[in-house]
Amino acid sequence: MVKSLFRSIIPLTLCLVLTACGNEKLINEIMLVQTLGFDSIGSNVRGSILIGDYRKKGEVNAALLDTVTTSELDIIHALNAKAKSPLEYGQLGIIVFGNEYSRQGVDAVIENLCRDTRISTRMQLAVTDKSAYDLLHAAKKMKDAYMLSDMIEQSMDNGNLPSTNLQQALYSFYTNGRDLYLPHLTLERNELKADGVALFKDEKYVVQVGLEQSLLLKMLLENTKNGSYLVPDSIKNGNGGLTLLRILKSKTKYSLTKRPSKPLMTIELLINAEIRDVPNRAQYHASDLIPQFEHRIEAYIANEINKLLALCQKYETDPLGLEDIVIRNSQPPMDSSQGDISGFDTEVKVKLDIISQ
Amino acid sequence: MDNPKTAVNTLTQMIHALQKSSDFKTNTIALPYQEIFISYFITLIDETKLQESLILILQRRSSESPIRSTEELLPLIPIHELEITDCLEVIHQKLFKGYVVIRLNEDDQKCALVHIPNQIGFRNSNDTENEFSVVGPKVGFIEDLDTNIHLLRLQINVPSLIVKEMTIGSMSHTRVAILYIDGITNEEIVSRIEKRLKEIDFDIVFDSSQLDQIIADNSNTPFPLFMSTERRDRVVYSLISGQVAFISDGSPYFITGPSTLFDFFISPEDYYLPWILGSFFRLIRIFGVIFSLFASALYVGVMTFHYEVVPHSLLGPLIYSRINVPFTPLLEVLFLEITIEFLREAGARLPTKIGQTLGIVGGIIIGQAAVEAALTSNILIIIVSLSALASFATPIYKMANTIRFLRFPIIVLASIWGGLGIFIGVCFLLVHITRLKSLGFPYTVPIYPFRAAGFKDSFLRLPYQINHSRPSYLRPKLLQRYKPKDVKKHKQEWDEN
Repeated sequence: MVKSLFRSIIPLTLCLVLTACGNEKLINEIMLVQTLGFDSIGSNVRGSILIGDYRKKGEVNAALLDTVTTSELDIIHALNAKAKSPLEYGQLGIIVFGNEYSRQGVDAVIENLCRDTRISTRMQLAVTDKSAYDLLHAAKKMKDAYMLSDMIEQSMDNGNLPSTNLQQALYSFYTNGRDLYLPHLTLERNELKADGVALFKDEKYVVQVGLEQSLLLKMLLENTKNGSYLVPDSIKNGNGGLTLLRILKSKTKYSLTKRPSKPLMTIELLINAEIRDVPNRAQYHASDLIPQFEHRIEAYIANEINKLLALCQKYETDPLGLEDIVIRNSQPPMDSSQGDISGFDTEVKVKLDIISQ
Repeated sequence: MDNPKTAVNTLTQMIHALQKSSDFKTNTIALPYQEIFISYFITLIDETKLQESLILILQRRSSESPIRSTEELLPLIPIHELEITDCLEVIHQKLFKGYVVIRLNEDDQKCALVHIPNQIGFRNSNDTENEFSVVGPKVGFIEDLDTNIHLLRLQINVPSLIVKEMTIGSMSHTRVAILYIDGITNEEIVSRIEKRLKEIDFDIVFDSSQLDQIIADNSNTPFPLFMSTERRDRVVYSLISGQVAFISDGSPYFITGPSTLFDFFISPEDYYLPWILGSFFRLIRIFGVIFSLFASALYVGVMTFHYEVVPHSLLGPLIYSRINVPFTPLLEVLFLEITIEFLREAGARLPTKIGQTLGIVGGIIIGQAAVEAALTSNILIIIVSLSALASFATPIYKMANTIRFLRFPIIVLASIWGGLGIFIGVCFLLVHITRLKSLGFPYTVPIYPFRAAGFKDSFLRLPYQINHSRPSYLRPKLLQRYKPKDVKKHKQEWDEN
């Protein structure tokens, strides 16, 4: 028995000595970086971080640090030199890319992020038209280092932004026939605002779409449960008025039909919506008007989607991954270089169902 | 045998030797035509009964002639346990069990032994104090073997309930009874337990749990391999399921086996409550055990290594609560865990009323003061006290102790390797429990080896019409316990035809 005890204790003790008790990171003795920003300044890179500070009871503060280096890879070390305790990135909530930086390409950061096991894959990435430092500064004033990521996640859950995170961004970034799209942030009178989606061509930011188009993108990308859409139409006045639609449920189906010339991609969008804020309630209940209204809106939405697709085509970006669908459905499997967005036609069908209250 | 080294060859010599003890009496009793000699330990026999059923009866005998042989005594004495022997060894043993030796002549080797034990020293209350249940009977066992078997016979009224008795202990000569139901229990279990008990060479048996440890398949394990219980319903249930029970005289605890890990999470209450509630409480108990095993270790692991898994909204409270604590999480947890162990040990040794006061002093004052003195964080106090609470959710005290012990190695492992350490600890535990055996039967049935039917009464307690057979791993001779009721969808009387 003693022998067997020794046999089990010796390897354990050796393991203990070998691993030297691991690398301790006591939660109250490290600084948690919660927001990270990248800007380009000439050929240099400016990195700025927001650190959560929990030293006061019931109160959260944020500390802002920034530094300029020649490359993204240096930034973490350069910032560490400014910190009282070691900086840790495991609780990172969002990375913001400044306008200029993202137009030059975000590949250096993204390729590094996917190798760090401590970083959550549910972290957010975002693009701003201002500098990332300004956004972080605005968030610091709100005393919340998670301000930016919470805001974006809130918009994804309840608003018009298509949901995305590091995991999905990596998928879009590395898949052939799919392009990266990230939420777009801005400052409106020194207040933070998520104002749309930034579309990428490969690693470079090319164009921004507004909140209305974000919702279309959201409905085409996922089964949407929230989001509101303003249509320039109303039951009573026809094209004259405005109506706010609240999307209750949407579903998209993509199907590829082979044709002798080009294949046809059919996008069928099914929307259940309710009407919010009707100026004149009485008219709304006239049931025979509703089907007509539905048809008008269907045509309007289909047209808007076509415009969005045209915009994407113009900038050669494909956030929906239509090309991906073509590549996957072709027999024999198409070489990725052959597929491109002009290689097929698209047809959009919208079915709107207004749920009466 | 174990007589003193000086040669004792005759009964007279033995009685002479025993007279060194002042509670050993040898009296001469005058009968109408003769004198007889009775010897006994006054501390072991019932004096009133001795007067009434022996001396008075002999003295009032209406016969005209003296008693000539010891055999003539037999029909005269109205006591059932009575025998005639000249074997010194038997006489010696029986004297210590409350027998009275009757000799016709002072130098006779042959004598009559009459059993007149006294019952002083046994408690009158047999409530189940340590395994309490709100619903169901509260009949427990006491320190007397015969009473205990009597209690069992009251509930199992079949002749096939077999009681096999043996004596263990070179000093105590403790009676040990093995009980099983003939025709249900696999004989191999009975013979195994009998063999192991017979092989025991031990001096004094205080409690059945000593025997339990001596005959256990693996003595180097913190896990209890046999169930020990003071509840009658639990023992009856084990016997009915095809297990074997044994108990030593002087112990209120029955040991039943072979047991599995899940037996220790079963409370008799599960069977008295509707099956949905019974199953729910059983799951809560199992969850409680898992929680209490890993909660503090997880705290140590997360605080020391894995800060990244803390949800955003918890960061503030966690960091703030630890901000002034000068110790590492390991020391902090050990400090609190050991405080709770002190409280438990002190509370268990003190009289009930002082124990309660101590609980308040320990729980509230020490806890509060420790936080204010910044020795521990208040979140940790919640975790540690919850897990202490959860560890006592197990109905069997022995298992609760095991759980309390096992937390410590896991906490230490978590402080060395974090989550990996906890994982290593779990692996060790799993390997250990899958290797355990109780009387040669696997300890982790029905999970390993997998027995689908065993799940009817392990994590869940399914209804009686489903749960009608005995556990198959015990290889009972009769698998079915009772015929389940036919479950038909009856039409209610108010339904239309």
